[in-house]
Amino acid sequence: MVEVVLDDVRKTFNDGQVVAVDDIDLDIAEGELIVLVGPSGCGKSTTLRCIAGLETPDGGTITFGGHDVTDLPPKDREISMVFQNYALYPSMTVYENMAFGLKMRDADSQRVDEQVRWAAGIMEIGDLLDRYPNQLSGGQQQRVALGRSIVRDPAAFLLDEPLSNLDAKLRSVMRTEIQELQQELDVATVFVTHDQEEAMSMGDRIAVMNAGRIEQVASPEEIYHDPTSLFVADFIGSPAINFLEMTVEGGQLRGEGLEIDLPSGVNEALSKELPGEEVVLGIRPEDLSLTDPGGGLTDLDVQVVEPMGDTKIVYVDFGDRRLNIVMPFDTTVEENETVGIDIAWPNVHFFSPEGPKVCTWGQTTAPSEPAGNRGTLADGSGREDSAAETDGGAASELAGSEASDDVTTDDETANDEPTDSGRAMDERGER
Amino acid sequence: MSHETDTDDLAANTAAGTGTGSAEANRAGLGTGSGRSWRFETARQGLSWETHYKPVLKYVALAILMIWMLFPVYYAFVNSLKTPEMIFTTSLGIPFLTFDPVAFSGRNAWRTMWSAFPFGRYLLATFVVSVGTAGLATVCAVFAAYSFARLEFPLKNSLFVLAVAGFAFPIVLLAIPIFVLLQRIGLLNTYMGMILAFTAFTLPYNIWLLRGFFEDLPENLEESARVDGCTQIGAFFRVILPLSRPAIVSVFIFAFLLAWHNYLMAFIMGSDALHTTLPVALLELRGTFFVRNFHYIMAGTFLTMAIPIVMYMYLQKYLVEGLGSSAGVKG
Amino acid sequence: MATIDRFDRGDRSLGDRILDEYGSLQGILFLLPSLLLLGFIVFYPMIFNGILLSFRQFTLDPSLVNPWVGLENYQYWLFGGGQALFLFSIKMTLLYELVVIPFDLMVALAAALVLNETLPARPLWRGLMLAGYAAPPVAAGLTFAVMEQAASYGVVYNFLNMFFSVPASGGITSNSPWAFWGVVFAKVWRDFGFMYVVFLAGVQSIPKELYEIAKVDGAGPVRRFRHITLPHLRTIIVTVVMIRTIFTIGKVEIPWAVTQGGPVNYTTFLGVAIFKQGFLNWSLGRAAALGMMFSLAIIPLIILWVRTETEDYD
Repeated sequence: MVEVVLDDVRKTFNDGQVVAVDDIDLDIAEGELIVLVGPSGCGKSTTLRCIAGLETPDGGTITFGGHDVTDLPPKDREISMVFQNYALYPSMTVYENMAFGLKMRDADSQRVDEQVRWAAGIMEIGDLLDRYPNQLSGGQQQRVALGRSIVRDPAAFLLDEPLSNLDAKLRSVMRTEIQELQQELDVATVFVTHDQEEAMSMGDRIAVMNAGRIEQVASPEEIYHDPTSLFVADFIGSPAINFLEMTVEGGQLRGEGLEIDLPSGVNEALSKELPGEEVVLGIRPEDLSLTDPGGGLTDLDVQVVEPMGDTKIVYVDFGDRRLNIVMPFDTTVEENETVGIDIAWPNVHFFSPEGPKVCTWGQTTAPSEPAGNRGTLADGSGREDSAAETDGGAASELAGSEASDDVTTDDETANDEPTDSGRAMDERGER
Repeated sequence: MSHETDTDDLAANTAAGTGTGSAEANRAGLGTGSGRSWRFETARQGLSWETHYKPVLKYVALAILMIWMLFPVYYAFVNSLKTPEMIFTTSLGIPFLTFDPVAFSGRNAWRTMWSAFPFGRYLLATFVVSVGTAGLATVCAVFAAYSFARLEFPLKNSLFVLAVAGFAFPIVLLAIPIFVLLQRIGLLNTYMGMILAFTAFTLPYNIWLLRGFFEDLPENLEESARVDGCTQIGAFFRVILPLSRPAIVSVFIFAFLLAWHNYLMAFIMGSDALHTTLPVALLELRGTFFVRNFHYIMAGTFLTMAIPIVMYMYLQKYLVEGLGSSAGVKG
Repeated sequence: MATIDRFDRGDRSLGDRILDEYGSLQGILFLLPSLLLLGFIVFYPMIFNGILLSFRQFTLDPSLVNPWVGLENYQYWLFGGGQALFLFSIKMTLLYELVVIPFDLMVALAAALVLNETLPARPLWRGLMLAGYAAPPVAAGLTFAVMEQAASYGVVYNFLNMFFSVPASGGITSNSPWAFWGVVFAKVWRDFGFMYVVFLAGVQSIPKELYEIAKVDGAGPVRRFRHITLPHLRTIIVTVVMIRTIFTIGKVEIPWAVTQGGPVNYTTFLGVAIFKQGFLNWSLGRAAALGMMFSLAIIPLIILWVRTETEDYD
């Protein structure tokens, strides 16, 4: 079995002035597709290049199937790689491009031919073999690049933003195709992207990177519903998560004229973990809901309504923050209308202003309803159900895109790392 | 690009009849009705240059430039076909192609120049030196440029600056020390000495051109090749070199022409008959019975000019790209 | 499926290991031929021979020792017999640069603008425009010298003589203010091609949309040239003027072919002065001393140029 393990990998540039990759630990099981995602300059590509051997780490080790390959040049690593610009050799035909890696390994011509035709068959580029790269469309070049990377039966499959040069439609087709290909090959695969949506839809697990460090490695569901830091919560999800800065005083959450009593479990966690009184609330757009004026937590004016087809995104200003709220498409709401908003409290995350998450309301010991919410409690509970419904809908949608055939790999991951993603999901399901 | 302008002119031409201009009209059409006729008026004025003067003027300008550029070449060619006697009867000095049966029956300079003067040997010497220089310079420059573009080694930037600066140093300032050096080691009046010297003069420019070309290639190509199983050097030979042919060809031509053009070093280093190149020979010919040898001199001059001009024409595209990028023109 | 020990490469070749361990060796190795050549042909002679020669009385007879003469060669140019020529030559060189470079610039810019227009068979015209640059300087200079003679075949002389009275004895090339212009004509004809190509590339790189917007805004051709073309070419013009200044200053071929530095020393620019002193009078020591002084003047220019050229890279 060839699994790829990164242990304390560190890479700096400019004589150590720029730290691109800062002590990363990551293991990729055989057959697993892991997505490295993060903003540009977060070190995701450098990490990939370290795995490929195109960069030599300053510290740490990289092992393939238990063998230390840290100092091996790329040619001895038996990996294959797809680049963002495909990097097809312009002076060679498609066939020669695909055969190149095998020829470099002294494969006899019959085997080269077999393998190239096999890979061309899979990628459906059999009729392009005599063309030159500049005679191909972007999508065809992409297929050739993928085909070239699979002819060699690689030990690991590395993809560096391979879809970002394609148009939106082709991109979603290639996404599925890469996933199918990866399952068929059953090799450890690292996919680098800056697109969180791509990451969510493709990865068995996602590693969110920021400033050279991995912020969180987990399944897409867990990353979305249980982010461990402000950064992850902010980076993943579209429309973006809402943040509210508030203070914790005397068991109450205060800010923007609101005073909300905290359940004891939450209060305990907050007072223990927070450095000061400030706390940042992270609320997913689908965890906010609209009520009649006066019927919610507070009353606000609707600024913009964006119909998205299946949903509507409603923007309201809360203090100097603009909140996005995802509502079902048939919600009737007009711009400039005054509405009440309500929050599905169990799904609210509390972050320290410095970044790490302190707790999620619903995951503290006793999930309980907010008590003493000024005069809004009576309606609150009812509306919360509907909020939970929308939430559930979103979750199932996500799970749907992942498809049921991911279940096996999910289990494997769970063995490696008994995270609480499963638990979190269970809780959600129960609710 | 040429196409766009073409259709633009066309649109402007057809539009002129109806009193609208393409872009202006579109914009004016969006305006309110009241201001419309006034806007069309200005639009027509703005276009008069485009529609009336420019199409004529550009041909006039082209004709003037071409006559000016090609006249000396034409002059050398036509005069080479005449006998000295005929040349001295040209009115105003503008030569016309007249066919003199005598000239074509055996006194034609193009037939007799080879025996009257050792033009064959001059030509051979010039070719040997130019081809040798071009070959050596291309090989050296390809490796050095790749090294500067992609490989890491100490003092890289300083060495590059030094190499490029060497090119700007006037050859005449180097002529004396090089002459003394080559004399001491016995390379004066040898092809080897001339080739080495010319190569050294042309190398910095060639390295600079090729480095620019290599740097513009996506680094992913080599990386991809390394992942596919090559060493860095292997990637260079198997992937980069094959696709650098246009750049390498233009560097070869540049080096060839530098050697072909050079008078100063060729005069200093190849002073014996065997190593006299065409430019050196031409200036020597001028000193000997100028009038009697007029047509030979013109024939030699035309020959010396025509060969590189033909090469330039043939490789125009590459050379324009190469020269253009050499002055730091980006994008 | 992959075997486990596919990464155990105990058998890596010696070459591979050397390359891995001495990675920077590749770079140096690739550079070596060029470095040797440049060092041997350019830098070594320039530094050692050039400097040492200028302190010697140098003759070519190997049986003679070449005695050290100290600063005598420098003294000759600065205070002695060569002073008049030295000062006059500096003056003429500066004048030459001041006339040739702007002349070059205007012709090249005009040619680039015309050949950027849509024309039938444009690639052919673009190529032919480089005829001068392709021609060897000596051939160009010689052709112009012939055309500038006061004779029936001297077309340039005949033409100029219609407007000015150029002395018939010696024509353009042997009479004092005319000879200078005789050299300039040949120089511009032969050299403007470089600037032309660079400008053509520069003009082509201007986005067409800018001109379209300007047309929509009602800007005429003159304004479009002043406000779009010229600003876009500004950095290119600066670079090219710098290159041409440096590359014109020491060139010998064209003045030599047209006038041989004459009449008397009228067109003996600095490069020509060194050439004449060294290879016609064979007093290499004096020529080297003049060359050293010339170098001192030109090196700051070269440094300036190299800096602007390489700053995009480093």
